[in-house]
Amino acid sequence: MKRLLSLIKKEFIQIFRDKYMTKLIVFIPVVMNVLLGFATSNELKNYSLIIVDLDQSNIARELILRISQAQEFHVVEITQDHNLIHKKLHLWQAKGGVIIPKSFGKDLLLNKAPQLELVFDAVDGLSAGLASQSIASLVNNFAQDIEKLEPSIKVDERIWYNADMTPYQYMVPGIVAILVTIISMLFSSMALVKEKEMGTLEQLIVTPIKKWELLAGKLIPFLIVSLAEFYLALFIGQAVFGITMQGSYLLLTLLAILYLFTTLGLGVSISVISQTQQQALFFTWFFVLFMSLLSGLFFPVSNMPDSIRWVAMLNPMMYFVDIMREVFQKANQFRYLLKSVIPLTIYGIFVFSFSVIKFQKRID
Amino acid sequence: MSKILSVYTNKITKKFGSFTAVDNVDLEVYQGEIFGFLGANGAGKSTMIRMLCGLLTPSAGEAKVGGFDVYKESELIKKSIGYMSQKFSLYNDLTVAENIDFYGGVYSLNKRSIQEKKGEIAVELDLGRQMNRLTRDIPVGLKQKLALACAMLHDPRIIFLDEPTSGVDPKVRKDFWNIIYQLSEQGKTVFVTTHFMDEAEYCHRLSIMHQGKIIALDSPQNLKKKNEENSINDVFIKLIRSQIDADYQ
Amino acid sequence: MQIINKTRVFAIAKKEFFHIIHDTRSLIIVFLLPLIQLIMFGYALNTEIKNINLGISDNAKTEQSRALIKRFLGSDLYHVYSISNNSDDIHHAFLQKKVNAVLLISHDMRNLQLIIDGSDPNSASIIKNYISQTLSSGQSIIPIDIRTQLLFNPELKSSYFFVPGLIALILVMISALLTSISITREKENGTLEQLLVSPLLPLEFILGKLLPYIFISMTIGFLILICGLLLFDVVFLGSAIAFTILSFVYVCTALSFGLMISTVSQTQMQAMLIALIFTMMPTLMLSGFMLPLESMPWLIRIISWIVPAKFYLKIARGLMIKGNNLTELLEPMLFLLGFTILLLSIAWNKFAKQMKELK
Repeated sequence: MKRLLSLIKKEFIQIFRDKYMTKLIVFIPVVMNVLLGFATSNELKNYSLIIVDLDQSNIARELILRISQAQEFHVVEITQDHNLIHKKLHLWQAKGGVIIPKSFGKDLLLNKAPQLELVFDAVDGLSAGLASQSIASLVNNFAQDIEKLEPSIKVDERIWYNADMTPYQYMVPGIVAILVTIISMLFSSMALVKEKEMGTLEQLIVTPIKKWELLAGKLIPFLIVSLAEFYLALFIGQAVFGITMQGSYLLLTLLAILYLFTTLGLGVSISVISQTQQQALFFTWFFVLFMSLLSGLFFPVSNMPDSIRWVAMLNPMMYFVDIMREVFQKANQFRYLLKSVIPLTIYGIFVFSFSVIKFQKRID
Repeated sequence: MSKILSVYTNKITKKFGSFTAVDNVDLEVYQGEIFGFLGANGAGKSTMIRMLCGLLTPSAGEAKVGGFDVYKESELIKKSIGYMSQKFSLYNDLTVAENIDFYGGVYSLNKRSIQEKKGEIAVELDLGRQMNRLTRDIPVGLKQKLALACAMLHDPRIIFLDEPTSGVDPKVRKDFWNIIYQLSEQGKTVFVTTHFMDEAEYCHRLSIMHQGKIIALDSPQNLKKKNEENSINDVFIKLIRSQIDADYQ
Repeated sequence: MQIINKTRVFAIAKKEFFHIIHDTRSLIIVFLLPLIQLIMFGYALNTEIKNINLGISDNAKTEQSRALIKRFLGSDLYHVYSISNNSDDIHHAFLQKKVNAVLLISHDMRNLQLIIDGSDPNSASIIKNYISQTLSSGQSIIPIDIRTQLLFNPELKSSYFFVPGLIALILVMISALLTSISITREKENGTLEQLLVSPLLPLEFILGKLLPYIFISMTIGFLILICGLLLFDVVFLGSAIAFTILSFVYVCTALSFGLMISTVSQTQMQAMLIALIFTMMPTLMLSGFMLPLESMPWLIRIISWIVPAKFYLKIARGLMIKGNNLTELLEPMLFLLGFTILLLSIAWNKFAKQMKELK
């Protein structure tokens, strides 16, 4: 026990003596939250359009007005040259075009279905799809207003659990999850390898210190630092975006510790197979990128092809992000979380035990 | 010399892939001896020490340190030995005092013992105000002595030193060997590797390693007599040369 | 202005190169991992929604309402569940993730209430879109005949959007990671001092460190490009030479960024933390990799001007998918070039200062 405490004390001294690192650890969550929290929306906004008005009637002009007033769109140019659309799209100067044909206004008033041509830069297929739908409904609403028609069915749209669709409540837990993963894995993989490289690990292995003491002595400080980072990021996120966590902090802490078991275990495993800090870095990078992209944060897992979804199911971060979001947004009761908690627990035990077994008090 | 065996090996071998670092070495070192391991770089000295300390598993052969088997009882070995590695092994970003506290704790010494030891070390090494300086800022010779002190906080019976005097000035080297003599007089076994020929003369017994094998093992005086040379340096050159010639045939 | 001695630069470059070659494990990782990532993410990343779980509560039970429901049943996209009107039950269904959205059809069929699970705003807006589309497709009066043309990617393949993005992401990360520890490693190991006693100039050192990694990063880039083209059926309309030149500039930017990190960090771990976070996060979220920049707040859009990947994304997507030529991509190239020079200067400056201090 005393040995363990000596190790923990030493680790903390080393961590905090590195002032630069300490500043980094505090500074990064702030920057990340501020930058990234705002940068997350899939709603259509400012989609750049070129409008070719071959009609030039009042009705056409009204339509153009309505389009430019819509938040979703940003009319870049109004022209009569319909070749301009292809050109501008090719040069990345606009993302879409609307061609209003010659007798548009007249046809609309006479109830003859006029044509409207839309052109989209489909490289960004998602936005193109959203824009298409958006213009279609805008134009149809416009037409109904002109023709004084009542839509046959009124649809009232409601969003639950995130009433103003702020992405922050959604992304902040995600950002916190990524940060915590990076920090815990980086620390645990790097620290052991660094001692390997410096030669101090050898000195430690040669003492009667037990394997579990050695590991615990490293991992407990990292666990604490990672948790501190977790809360720092969480609080900053809430402060910056004015959102609040709905669930229980105790629950969140327990689940975070559970998750950290896995990431720390992974870090130890990496340090066992790495001879240099550089190798450890690359392995960590690989895992972190893999875990982040397949976590459901950016792309819903249900969209992925079955073979990849299998792999995503192996991603502990996916379960953690799930849990974080649920607890954060919905004050979810524990029983709903079970389907994520169970895999995380299994994972934590498995990875952690594996890494402990693999870690030998030997050099070879 | 006492007749208690500190270190015993029988045909101990270590292979790394196809490369044999230590080749069928037989060794007996007695309690209280200063036993030297001489050889060029790459001869297998460090590998030998690491196997004896439980850092590497031998590929073949037997070995016992302090009566404990290196395969099965390596943790017990670690309780009774001290080891100073070739690479500097104190924490540069900790102060002198913090390093002592740390290793003291690792060897399960209680607070009072650690304080006592600290006091002793401070006097012995004339540390004075250096106690609270970062280890990276103290002179190299002092660092080495400190590393040795930390390796011995738990008063081990057997001490392994892997090139302890590389990179230090002659005065510090002399100090080091004074310490080693004191340890031997206290009844401790000191197993030391070196490539300094003059240090070899200070050992009770000495072995010369070449390409993983021991090509000579005796007291420095006997070696000199047997090979009709005046210094271990010359003995070394003669023996290595004849080895190389033999290899060629 | 210092005159650079080419021999010394190449000596450093050669040494660095051997460092890399001899570290077989790192070498394998550095070439293999990007490929694995490209393959994995190429398949995984797509924004097409495959499946919407829709709960419908039909309180009208007329022919009309059944026809409406049939529209959803008939499509492969929807899994339709029957659900009660009860608010608690609906909450329950959402919490259990049984449904993504709920459609309540009123008695008189005049009002439809569509409730969407907003906890994932990304999917929520897409789901809203689809459902709206399906709902309105049944409207008998279509006032306007809309014809839509999809340029450059008529089949709306996700890979066209993401494969260039992945190249941008992987290249910037690998390059920055490689160089970020190259100088700090020597600082930590103490070998830097050895170089300080030589007549080596700071700029020579920096350039020498840069050269071998240009070669490695370009090779990696080439490999993942080929892999991307073969596996994901992505087109490559532009000129290969232009692509090489432009990618070269991008790689230099990333490598310079890494070098800069290397000079401002004292330990490898600091360098790694900075490199990991400041390449991954901005590229993933602030460059247009996934989410279009125009839909973000103006502050973010301004910040994106210092994210190199933003420019390379235009280059990669433009050249590969639209067939842009070098002249059309001049603007992003100049930005990247500017970044490279700026970052290298900072690295050079910092390093020169440190060398002077150590002496």
